[in-house]
Amino acid sequence: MTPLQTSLDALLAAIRFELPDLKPVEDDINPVVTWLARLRLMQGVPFAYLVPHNEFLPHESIRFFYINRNWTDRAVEGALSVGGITTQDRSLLQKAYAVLRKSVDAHERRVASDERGSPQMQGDAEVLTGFLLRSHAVSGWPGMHVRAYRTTNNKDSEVELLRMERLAPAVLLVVMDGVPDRVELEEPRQGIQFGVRPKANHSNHRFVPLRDPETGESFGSDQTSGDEATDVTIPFRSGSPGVIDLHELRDRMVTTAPDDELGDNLDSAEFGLQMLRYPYRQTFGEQNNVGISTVFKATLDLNSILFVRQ
Amino acid sequence: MSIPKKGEMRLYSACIPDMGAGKYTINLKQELSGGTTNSADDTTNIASTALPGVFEDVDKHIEVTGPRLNLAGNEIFGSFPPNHSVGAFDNRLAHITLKRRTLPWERKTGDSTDDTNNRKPWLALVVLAEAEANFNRNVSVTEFTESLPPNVRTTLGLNESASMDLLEVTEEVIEKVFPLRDEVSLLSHVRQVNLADTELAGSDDDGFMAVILSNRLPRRGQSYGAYLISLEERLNVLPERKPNTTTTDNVGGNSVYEHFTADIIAAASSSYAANFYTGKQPATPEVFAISKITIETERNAYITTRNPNLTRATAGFTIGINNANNKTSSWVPSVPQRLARGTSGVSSSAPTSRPFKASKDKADNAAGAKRHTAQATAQPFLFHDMNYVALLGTSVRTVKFPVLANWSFTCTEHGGFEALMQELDIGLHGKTGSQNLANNQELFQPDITDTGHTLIDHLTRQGDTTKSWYRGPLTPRQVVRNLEHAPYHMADQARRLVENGLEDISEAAAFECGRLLALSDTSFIQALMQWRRRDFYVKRKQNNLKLWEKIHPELRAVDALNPKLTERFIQLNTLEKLKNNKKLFGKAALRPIHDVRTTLTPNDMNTISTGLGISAIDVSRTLKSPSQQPVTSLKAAELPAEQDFNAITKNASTEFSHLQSGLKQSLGGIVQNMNLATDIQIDIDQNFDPIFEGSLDQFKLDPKLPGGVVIDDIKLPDDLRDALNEIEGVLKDKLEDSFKDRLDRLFDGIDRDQLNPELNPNRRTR
Repeated sequence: MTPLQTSLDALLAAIRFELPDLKPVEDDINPVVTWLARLRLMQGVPFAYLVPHNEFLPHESIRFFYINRNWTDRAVEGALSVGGITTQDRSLLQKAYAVLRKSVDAHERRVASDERGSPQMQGDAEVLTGFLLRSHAVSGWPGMHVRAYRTTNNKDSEVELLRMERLAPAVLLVVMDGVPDRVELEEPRQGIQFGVRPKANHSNHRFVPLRDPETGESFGSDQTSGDEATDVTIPFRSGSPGVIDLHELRDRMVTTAPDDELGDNLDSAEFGLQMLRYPYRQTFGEQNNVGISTVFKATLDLNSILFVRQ
Repeated sequence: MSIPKKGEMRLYSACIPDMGAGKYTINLKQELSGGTTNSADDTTNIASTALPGVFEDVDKHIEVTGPRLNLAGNEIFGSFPPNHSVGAFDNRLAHITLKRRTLPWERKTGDSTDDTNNRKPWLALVVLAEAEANFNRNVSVTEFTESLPPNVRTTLGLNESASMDLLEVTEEVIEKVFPLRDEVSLLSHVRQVNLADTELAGSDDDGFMAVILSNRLPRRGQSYGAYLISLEERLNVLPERKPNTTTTDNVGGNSVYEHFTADIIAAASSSYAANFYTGKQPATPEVFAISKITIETERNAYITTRNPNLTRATAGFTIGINNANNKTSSWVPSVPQRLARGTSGVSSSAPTSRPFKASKDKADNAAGAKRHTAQATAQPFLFHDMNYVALLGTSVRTVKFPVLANWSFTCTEHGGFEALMQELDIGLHGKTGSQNLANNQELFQPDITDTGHTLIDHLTRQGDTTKSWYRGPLTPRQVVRNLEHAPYHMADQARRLVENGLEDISEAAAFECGRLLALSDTSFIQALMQWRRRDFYVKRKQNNLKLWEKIHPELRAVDALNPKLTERFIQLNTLEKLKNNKKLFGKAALRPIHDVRTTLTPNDMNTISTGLGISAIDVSRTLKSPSQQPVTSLKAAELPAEQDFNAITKNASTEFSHLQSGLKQSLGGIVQNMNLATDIQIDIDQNFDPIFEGSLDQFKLDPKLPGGVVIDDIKLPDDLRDALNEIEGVLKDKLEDSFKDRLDRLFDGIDRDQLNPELNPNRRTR
């Protein structure tokens, strides 16, 4: 190739690929970007793509995950490849892709807030995490509350949920914006409830942790074991399963209460207080001895080490 | 008394009204004393000789009313578990919340220990399994009052013409399930909340609510009715605590009466019988017969111990089994028909009709006894089962209660929320179910790496079956986002080979997944195509148009023209001008340009004339004499919307300078390469203004070219000329494109009829 040709080629190239400044997302509701952002959050992605084998999600399990950005990027590119026929289409896509990707990144966080009508979050999408929960708790408690927190300088800030959806009657998918330090699942609030708690180590026994009638707070640490000194095992009438022997229960409460806090008799208000059950809240993360480090672990990209790109 | 803060609540053990519901009489009596009559020896009190009609006693009657036999729905604030709900309520006590805080203490229970300050509530909430209760809606009050002892009936003084909801249970059930006399008061309290707290206060008007708890935890797999019953003047029907009462810490089995199921199953030698007692349908009529005998034995034994006087109790039992298909009325809420269905083949003795309800008319009884017998046989709960009441007639005593509110719920098998959460298997994505493996070693375990990859079957294009690695969008570790090769245009670009020779198809699968999802969504495809057209090509062309306009100012006038013709027009015109540019191209002949004019027929000219919106004469003249300034009439044409052009041309300078610098650079290179430097002056004007005002002629002919490259009298070699031709061609294409698009865009939404009629081809043809 002569220098002349080279120069001319350069000239031709300069003319041919003189593309305009692309601003593909001028309006916020660009349907393409919205759709792609939803795809990023795996909306519509068949379950088998998420969970390739049953064993990934056994019954009564919760699985935390990071979202693999490379996977979602490929899915987005696959969607964009539709209808791209000519070389020109491809070259244009090549040129526009960077801008487009940024738009989708920015839009990712808006999908959830748009749907909920909450204020829009700004800024580019971060690391996405989430969990899959497969449990009767999903089918039995449809209004379950999920909250995630990140702790910085001992201050909790809520991690926004980008997606929370039941993929099947008993499977819940939650996608979170960032890496949380703590995730809480809370029983739906169906008003105030009364009841007992199952003993962790004795499935046939029930107990209530005694509360101080002055404050309403539990005397003990309110653990789930039922073995605290201020926990009262519920007595039942012999031969009548489930029927509480209130007489005996009252006596037990009075004798169990430290420093005779409950006096020598128990009136109905005190009894009601003791039987009051708040919605149960399960915490994953720091507060539940499930160290966050075991759930969320920042690592190197092992993929790039193990699976060498060609 | 302060109001609780939001989110707080305050509990009171009772809220006893000063004046309970009931009839009151205010008796006014005036007594005079102290004065004497004038008569000195008559010391009679004046009062004793009261003037007739003046000091007569006055009785005023008032009645404090309140819910008694019925409770309006709006008096109920809420209840738990919700009506008809299905859930794991086995650790929850049913309760009902009433808006009227004094309601549970408004009426008397008839208990001797009650006084004005310490009164037991007259309402209790009982939770009964389906078969334990006989619940009838809208029955006559007399049905209730007739079951009462005469003195209670008098005390209550109910209006017997009204109707009510009535609960009927056996004494056995009362003893086993109902709260004891001294327990009732523990189960009612008053709650005070802040009215502003919608979650707690709802639509309540004073923030006070009465709460009534039940004393029974529902058992799994059972359906229950919750009944708010009245104990007015009848607290004594509730049992008192016996000194030898035993308690257990075990909540008990799932059956309502575990001792029965356990004992009887143990006693029954036949496993069929066991099936029967656990509620499963007997497989065959024979099986059923066996079960029946077992029941009978047990029942006899029970009756003997409990009530030795009941000698004829069995009479009702063996009858009427054939009659199982009779649908029940409300008498039995929902006895499982499935159990009764297996009974039709069993022979039975002749029906001996026993009255199953003392007060019912006789005509009803025969049929009633039959059908309930059949169902009763199928029920495992024996004497607590109201169906047995039917078949034993009046020999088992039942007690009736007015029901003010009732609802039903089902307690399901699985554990509570807390238990489920406690037992969750926690892990990162990719962790397999360990307990499954422990239980069953045979279980297939997929190959899962700690990166979250798994081996899946892969059918290659060649038809081979192999295994490939796959990892979905969910990974146990954070994966660094790799932007290096993006975007991919095909799935194959994303296939990767792993060290052991297997493929990693994760990202290729993702690509295909995205592609297929897009293809399945027509609205997305539409949006994508529109985006490409509008935001992509059009923008590019719009930019190019800016350049075009500088070169062909006169063409701004032809916007109204048919784009196809305009295109051709531009081509010819441009080439014509370029061809005549001797200074640029020297004397060498350009490649001949195909001139459409030579092949145009008169018809074509008409087409052009129509299309261009100009007179046929002009067209004809132009075609005949190419040197002439073409289409003179166009010059007078008006621009449709001048401001649009201004907007479009705004950035023309940028694009133009790009082209110029490219051209400049290349020409500089060309010149150098050709050793023509001595003949060429290259004078780069740094302050050159890229906005080019003038025609294409000026652009090319001006010895001082835009960009500052001066090329004068250069004899270009053939290859360079070819190259320039090509450049020219590219430029032309580019500009044409933009021109066309600009036309489209400009007329988007503009009514062409509004434009200069001279330019409107449609109008012209009329």
